[in-house]
Amino acid sequence: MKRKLEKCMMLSMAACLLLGGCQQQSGGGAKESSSEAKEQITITYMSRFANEEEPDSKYYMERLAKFQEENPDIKVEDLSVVELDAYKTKLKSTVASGKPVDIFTNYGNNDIAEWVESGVVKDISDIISAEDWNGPAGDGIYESFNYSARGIDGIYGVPTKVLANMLYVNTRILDECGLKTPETWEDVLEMTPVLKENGYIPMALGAKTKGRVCHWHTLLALQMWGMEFKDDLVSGKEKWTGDKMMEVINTFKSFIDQGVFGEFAISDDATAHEARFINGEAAMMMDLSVVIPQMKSSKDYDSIKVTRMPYFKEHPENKNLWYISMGDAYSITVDKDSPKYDAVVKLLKFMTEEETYKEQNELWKGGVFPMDVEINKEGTERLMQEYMESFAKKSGGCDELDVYFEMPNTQDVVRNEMQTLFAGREPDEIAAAIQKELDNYQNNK
Amino acid sequence: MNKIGKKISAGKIIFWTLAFLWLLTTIFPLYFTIISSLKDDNEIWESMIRFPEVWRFDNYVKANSVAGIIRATFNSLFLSVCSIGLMMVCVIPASYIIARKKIRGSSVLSMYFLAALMIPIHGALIPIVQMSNLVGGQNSMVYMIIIYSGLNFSMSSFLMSGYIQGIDSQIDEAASIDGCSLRGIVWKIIVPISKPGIATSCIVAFLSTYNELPLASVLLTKKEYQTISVALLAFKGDYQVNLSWIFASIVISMLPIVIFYILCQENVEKGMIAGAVKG
Amino acid sequence: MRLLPPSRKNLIIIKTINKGGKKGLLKLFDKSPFLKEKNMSNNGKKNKGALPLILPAFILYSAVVAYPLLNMLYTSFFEWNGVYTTPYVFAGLKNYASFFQDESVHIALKNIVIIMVTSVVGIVPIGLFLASVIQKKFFGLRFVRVSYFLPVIINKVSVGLMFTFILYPMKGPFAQIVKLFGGNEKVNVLGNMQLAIWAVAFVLIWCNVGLHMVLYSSAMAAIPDDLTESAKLDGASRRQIFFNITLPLIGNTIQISVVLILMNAFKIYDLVVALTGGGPGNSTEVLSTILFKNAFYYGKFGYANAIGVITVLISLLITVVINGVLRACRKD
Repeated sequence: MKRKLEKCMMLSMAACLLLGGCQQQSGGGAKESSSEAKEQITITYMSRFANEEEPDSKYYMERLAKFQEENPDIKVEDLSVVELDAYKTKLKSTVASGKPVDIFTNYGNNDIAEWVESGVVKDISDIISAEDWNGPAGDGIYESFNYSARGIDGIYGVPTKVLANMLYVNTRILDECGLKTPETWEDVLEMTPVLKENGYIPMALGAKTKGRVCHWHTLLALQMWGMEFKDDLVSGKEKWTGDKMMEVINTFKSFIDQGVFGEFAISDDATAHEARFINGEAAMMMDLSVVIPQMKSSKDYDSIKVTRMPYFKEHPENKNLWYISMGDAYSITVDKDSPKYDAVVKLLKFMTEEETYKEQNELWKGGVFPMDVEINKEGTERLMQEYMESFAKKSGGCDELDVYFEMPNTQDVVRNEMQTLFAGREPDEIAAAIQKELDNYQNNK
Repeated sequence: MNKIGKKISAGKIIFWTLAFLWLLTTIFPLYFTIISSLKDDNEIWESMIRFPEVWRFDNYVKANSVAGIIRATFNSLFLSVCSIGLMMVCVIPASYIIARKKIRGSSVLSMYFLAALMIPIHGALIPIVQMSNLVGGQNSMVYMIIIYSGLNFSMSSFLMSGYIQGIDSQIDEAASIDGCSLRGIVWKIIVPISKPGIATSCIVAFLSTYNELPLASVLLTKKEYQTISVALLAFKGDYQVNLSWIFASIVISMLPIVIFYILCQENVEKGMIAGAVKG
Repeated sequence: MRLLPPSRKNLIIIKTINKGGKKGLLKLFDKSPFLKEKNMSNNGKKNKGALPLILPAFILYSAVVAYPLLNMLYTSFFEWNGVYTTPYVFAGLKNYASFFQDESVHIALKNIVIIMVTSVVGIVPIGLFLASVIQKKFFGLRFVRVSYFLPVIINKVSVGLMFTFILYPMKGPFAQIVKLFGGNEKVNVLGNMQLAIWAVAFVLIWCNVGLHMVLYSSAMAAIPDDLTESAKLDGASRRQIFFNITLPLIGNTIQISVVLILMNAFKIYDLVVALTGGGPGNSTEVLSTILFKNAFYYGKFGYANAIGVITVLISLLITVVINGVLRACRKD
């Protein structure tokens, strides 16, 4: 009986699918028949832009569609997927099985280090230094895609995004409690009890998302000890168990204990903490520039401000150091002698040229890009403008500390351990665990 | 113990209270999903259990337009049903042979068939992708059906062998004395009796295929072929998670199964009982 | 059906009397007429028609599963970073040695054991209980049956999301209930390194009970009514019927169900990722998440495959042990 039912279902499903499939086919077929009988080159493309509702995704998806329109002889197979785990799985499977994706997005540093070393990802420095290059230029931009520290020359990715963390402040809440926008961490600590009394979360933080915890950690480390500290850590001169790092972690812990992040930071992920800020439950938050468009959905929009993060009174020289990450960079895996090379390079250029930043600037009324674009001051959105003004004053910055280490899984180790700070683990245990992993790696090299 | 006259006893009260409590635990998450699917994202975090202020049915429209969830549901159903069909056609005779030890080396074979029972999917992922590169299995529903049939094979063979072992072998003997071929025994006699086993295998295989993620996300890359789990991923980014749309998609993806279960429940159980008693 | 001699084990003691200090059996219930004879296997009887029946299965299975299994086994003895241009570097048993030294593996193993044990201890009784609930006729039976089964079919991603909200400290319903009972409403189950794994275990039970309820229910329904009826007429209490008639007769089903539960618990992946992502720190890692991380985040494919091989071996071991234990249990 069940098998009969199953057979019926199968048939009906198959029928529906065929109908749906036919519709798709006929729709696609019409488009293809209009293209010429030229030889079509198919290239594979993979990014995290697959959700039209995310503003920056939408832009790049439309840009890709535009490329296909203008280049009917190049067929781009879009394998994009949004979620990180699925993205990594898919990308690595293609590399492992021998057919790597032709062009894909990544964050540089450890993300693609092994592929650079084994020659899967190709050097594009000649493309960038060529005369017709119209995309980002300048050494600072390509720092995360330069592997000279590992003895490899060349540049391996073109970033399209500048991600920076800054302080979002809800001045309405602050006014209500008789407080001002904090300049230093000491200010923040003073404000915390007042805000807590009034039932607000002083600074929202989604500790469930491990990455955010590490952004905080990196920022605190930079603010305390400056850029040289990062170099010392990576080279091994400074240890995670050393005094300087311990002071950073202990300070972080004291923030947690004093309730700066609210009581349940560990239960919130990144979107939750954004929601809390937008809902007016939190007075401040540290977040990336990409969430500025979301601020419009808050009823407190007019009283929201962005500014740079607070600094330590004792280290004013570090006050303009930022957490900055060059993100969503395009890298290619095709050889010069491959028939697909020209097509892939064309796509690479198309997705990273100056025009893309100009268009995005128009879209969001401002922004910071890997290239300087002419900004029409009148047209900028207020928050974007505040962001750009603060950003212009920066004196330096770096990505999450853990991406600079040689050990491939440093980021994972550090993120896992740091997160336990919110679950009550002791700082010295955490530092010891991280240092142990690093030492093991060095010893077993 | 004399039960006559005592309608309500302490035991009964506990019994029904516990039953009701469990009902609440199963209903509540569903309730939560449905009301969240009708809310705005920020509202979900703000007031978790209250009714939505504004009933946003357009979340469902959005869920479909962004992730193609309806198409994805069909794809998942299609893949599941076809792979189960293919698998059952192979498993039933095979488990009969093994359960009745009709072939030399049956015990070795049964161990062999059991090997894939616990193969972790991420471990098998790369080889499967490599195989697909060889046979052009990317974005091929046929390839996926075959893979899923193979993967669920172990569990079904284990279940079916177990059930068939519980069936009296005299029935087969009687049938073969009556001149029934081996094939006939399997399809005409064993199958009707082992309906519980078949139903169980189908359900377990269906569950593992319908919600399967890693293989589907790597091998089915075209949007029109995506399955449910893959489609749900569209909402989960680094900076933004569209909770309300995820919940709307979840409700849509549950509908076919719930409807099927409601409609077929009684038939399925009747079939199971009838089959069992016959033996 | 053949009649078996009324041996002692086929009798159920219904009433005992205590006359003058002497205990005696007054009423016995003989269930032997209702039992089937133990199955006799057809050893040695080779039938030519058997081969074509098993061949398609063999081909399908081998084509799909053989290569991945062998590949996994092969790769586990090498070091490979997942790049097709990089050759495999022979590493002998190094990966297996690392497995035993890896701290996160220790945590994972501990978690897996917790999950497996709680699953069995939780699902079997609750499943039996729910199965007996839906055996009865009452208003709304259909609705209750569907809703008991619902958790089984809900996508694990959504289950994770739902329970994240339910277990949310202070605002979630669970916290409210704890408050009702006088506990601290700020209890943060998923954020607590010791408690998180128990939350995962509970959610797994919640998801799977429905399936086993259906299994037990259909097995119970297969018990001939006359058996229970005559037992009742003979005065057996409901409890006696349940433990002495129902349970043994569905013993085969329970065995299959236990194996299913254990396999499911062992394989757990989606649920952990959806609920805790590995937990605060490493506290809810399980073998499958560690395998995934090593393969797709750290690029240690050799090690990941070693984990895979060990997973397969452990689960085979579990299956064999369980089958043995349950068979022994049922023999007496």
